[in-house]
Amino acid sequence: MLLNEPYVYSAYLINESLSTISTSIPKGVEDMKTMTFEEFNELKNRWLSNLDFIWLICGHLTENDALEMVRRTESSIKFNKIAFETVSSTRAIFLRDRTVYTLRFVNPGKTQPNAYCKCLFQYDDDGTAVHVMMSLLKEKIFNQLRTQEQLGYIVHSGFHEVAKVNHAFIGVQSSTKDADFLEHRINSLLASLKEKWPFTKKDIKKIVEAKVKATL
Amino acid sequence: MSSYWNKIMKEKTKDFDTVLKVVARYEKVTHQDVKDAFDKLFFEQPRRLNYKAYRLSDVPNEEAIKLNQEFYSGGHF
Repeated sequence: MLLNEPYVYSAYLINESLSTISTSIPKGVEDMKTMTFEEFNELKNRWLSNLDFIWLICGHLTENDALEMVRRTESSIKFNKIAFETVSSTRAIFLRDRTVYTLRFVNPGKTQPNAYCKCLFQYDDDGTAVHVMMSLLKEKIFNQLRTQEQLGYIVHSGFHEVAKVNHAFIGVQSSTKDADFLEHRINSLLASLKEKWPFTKKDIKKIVEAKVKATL
Repeated sequence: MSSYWNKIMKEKTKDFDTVLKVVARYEKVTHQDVKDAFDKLFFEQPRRLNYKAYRLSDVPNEEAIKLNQEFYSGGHF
């Protein structure tokens, strides 16, 4: 792992700064209290339906032999009851509306003297429209920041999840430009897209169809 | 082998009710929804975190800093 590459190192920083590990679960219990009965049932059913072992056995043996191996293995597993207070939970730091947080660090790598800027945007709805939007933007972002402006080899965008909280992101790593400049170019691209929205209904339809195909 | 394993896992763990719900959500997305999501996420209600790595040789880029401040305070938000 190239930890001296700032775009890789930033992933560690994101985990450290955005999520915390709590050894107590009162917060989780508090969240459960606000759940409706239907939501709770859905959660419970989904959890139970996923609670299953799936075995893949390869080799020169018959189906009966494989099933026997599974039976013996499963019967030898001992289940330990987990104490309520030992269950840890992970939660994400909530970023406030209309707020920009900035974390700065110096890339000490002399062999990889690159600057990097990654902008994360947190959202808490189901994110379907954001997923479609980020898929649409991907090519624009890459084309503008990498191909047109040639800011650097690594230009990426998309969305990911930290402790069940969704984040869209745009990141650029450059060996020739500094992080402030990279941030400015990201902002400038967003402003130009806002000013002149380049996507049509047909573009959206195409992305939606691709998303549906990938989901099925 | 790993691709074979991934294929098996994908088939075995697919919760079709959930898949259909996700598909239904995607199919409902309109052009306006996407535009609204863009405006909300980046401009109207941004919850934003910038990670910036500087090189050892970097000095503050005053011009870019000023432009960024203008972006955040100059009506874009």
